[in-house]
Amino acid sequence: MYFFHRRLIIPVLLVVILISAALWQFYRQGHNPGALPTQAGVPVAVGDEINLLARLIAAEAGNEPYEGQVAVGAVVLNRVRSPLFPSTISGVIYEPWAFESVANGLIWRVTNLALPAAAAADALNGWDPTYGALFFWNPSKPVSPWIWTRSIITQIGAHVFAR
Amino acid sequence: MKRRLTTILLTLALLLAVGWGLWERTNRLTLANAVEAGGQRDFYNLLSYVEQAQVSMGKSLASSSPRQQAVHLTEAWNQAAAAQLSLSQLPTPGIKPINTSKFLSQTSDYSNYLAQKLARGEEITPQEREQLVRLRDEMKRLAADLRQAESQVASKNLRWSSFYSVQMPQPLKTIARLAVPAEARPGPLDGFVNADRRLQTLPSLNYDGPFSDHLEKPRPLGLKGSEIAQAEAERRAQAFANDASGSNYRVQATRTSNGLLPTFALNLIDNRRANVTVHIDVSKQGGEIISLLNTRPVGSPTLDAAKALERARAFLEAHGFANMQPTYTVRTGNSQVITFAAKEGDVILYPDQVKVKVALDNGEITGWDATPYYMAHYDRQLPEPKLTPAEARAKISPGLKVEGVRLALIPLPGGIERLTYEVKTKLDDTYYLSYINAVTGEEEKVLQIIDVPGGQLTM
Repeated sequence: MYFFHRRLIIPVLLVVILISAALWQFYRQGHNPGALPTQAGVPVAVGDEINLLARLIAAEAGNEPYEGQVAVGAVVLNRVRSPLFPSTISGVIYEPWAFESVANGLIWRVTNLALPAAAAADALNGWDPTYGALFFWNPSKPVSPWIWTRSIITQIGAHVFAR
Repeated sequence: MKRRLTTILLTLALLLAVGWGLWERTNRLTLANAVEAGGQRDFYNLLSYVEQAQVSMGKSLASSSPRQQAVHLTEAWNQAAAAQLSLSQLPTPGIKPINTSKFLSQTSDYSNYLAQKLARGEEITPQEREQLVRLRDEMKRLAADLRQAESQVASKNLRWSSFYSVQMPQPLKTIARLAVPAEARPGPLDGFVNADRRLQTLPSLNYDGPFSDHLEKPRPLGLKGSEIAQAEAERRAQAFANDASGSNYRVQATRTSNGLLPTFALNLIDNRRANVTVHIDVSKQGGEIISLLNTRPVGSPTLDAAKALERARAFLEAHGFANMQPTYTVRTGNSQVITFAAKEGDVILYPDQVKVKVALDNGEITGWDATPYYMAHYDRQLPEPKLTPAEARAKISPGLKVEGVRLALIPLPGGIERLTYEVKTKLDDTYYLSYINAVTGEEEKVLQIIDVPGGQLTM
């Protein structure tokens, strides 16, 4: 049998890898389960805005303490009310480069939405642990130096909040 | 034979790799074109809305009749708002044109304010006209800057999609820069940077609208007394948490927060129940409890909304909020959130709100938000109503069925408060709240009551 010949191993492997890579790519393009914004399926009671906000909170602050999650939701809502930012929740969330998780797609991959949905509801009900913050960032990650010119309000968990 | 087979397989592998690469490239280009189209659309929308707004503002200055002025100001309001939306969705990496954004929002809001003023039959003052001229001139200059950027866009020096490509690693970048020294030519986004820098220096704009500069940093009006010490804040937070839960808490951590309402922010742990924590904000000035959030999961309900309301009211009274009127209640999950407004005599003070969240499994207070109350509350001198309730009723248009009238102080844009009659009306199957100024008889505001599942307005 030719196929067991030592010299053939590498070419055969190459072909197999390429074909499987192409197939996998094709599969991924065709099916994108759970990755579309319209397939949110978040188990919350009211409103598409809660879904949107819960996803962002989960992606941006999924590992943060509860008040840190409410705070991220509150920042979005403070932006909606600010003349510096778009005037809708979706406009604020999908502003280019406004949120890292939107840029890298994490917002579509989050799965644990129970606590973030509760945090989103609290934020929509008016709770704002930051009292007016418009920006937040993780000081241990590289950020634009411009952001440090804003006046800092407080730090909750791993995030610095500023106005 | 074996060699030939190797050759065939290797060729096949090469062809597959090349084909795959080409396929990926086509995909990438398709996506890049879509992104480019989005960027171009937003940019040209921005440019054309800025030009249109500038023209509309000019027309309103040139027209002599208040009605025409109002029409053009309404156009300017919409065009400036559309320009702001386009700008905010434009991919401009590394620069945040927030001053341009603020300028567009403010101009839009200011045009709306003037249009509404004209609609009420009032006149534009000379100062307001001067401000409008100033804003129109700035809009003109912004249009000129954007046109300059447009020439770069048209000559393809500026590709919006290119901002999304993955950055070269730093060592490669350094080598590239050594090999090809960067020319000193204007960057593609310089026009934006310059315009934004110029708009930062605009004098402040004060008027009766939500984006007026005098509202940018509201001060809490409801806090009295001197600044308290951290130990005092911890003591008060602990007592409040114990009372809210009927349990016993200890302080885990305290930090300070310097937002619009400066606070000590505390995390407390329940001594009796595992994994129950409470977050409390205590105002630095006066040591008032501003907010409480209990994060425990709430089990299946044993209380109904009425019981929850009773519980919330008792808790409010125990903490010095005696005369509060429930105005709205909404169920979220297994909790009931009830909004209360303060009352002065029989006047409901809508700006002075406190929200209480009650867990429906055991009646524990799991949320408290008195931020609006402490931001807005002060000892007001309410005017005497000149209208009777019957006169207020008569102001409602005849097709509507009146269901109730009461006195209410309402907040209006620009930080203004007005004493009004709140008239609840019904048109077909929709409820509305009309607010008739109790002194002048003008209709100040109409609200439509939107049904939210589990939400209920309490009258």
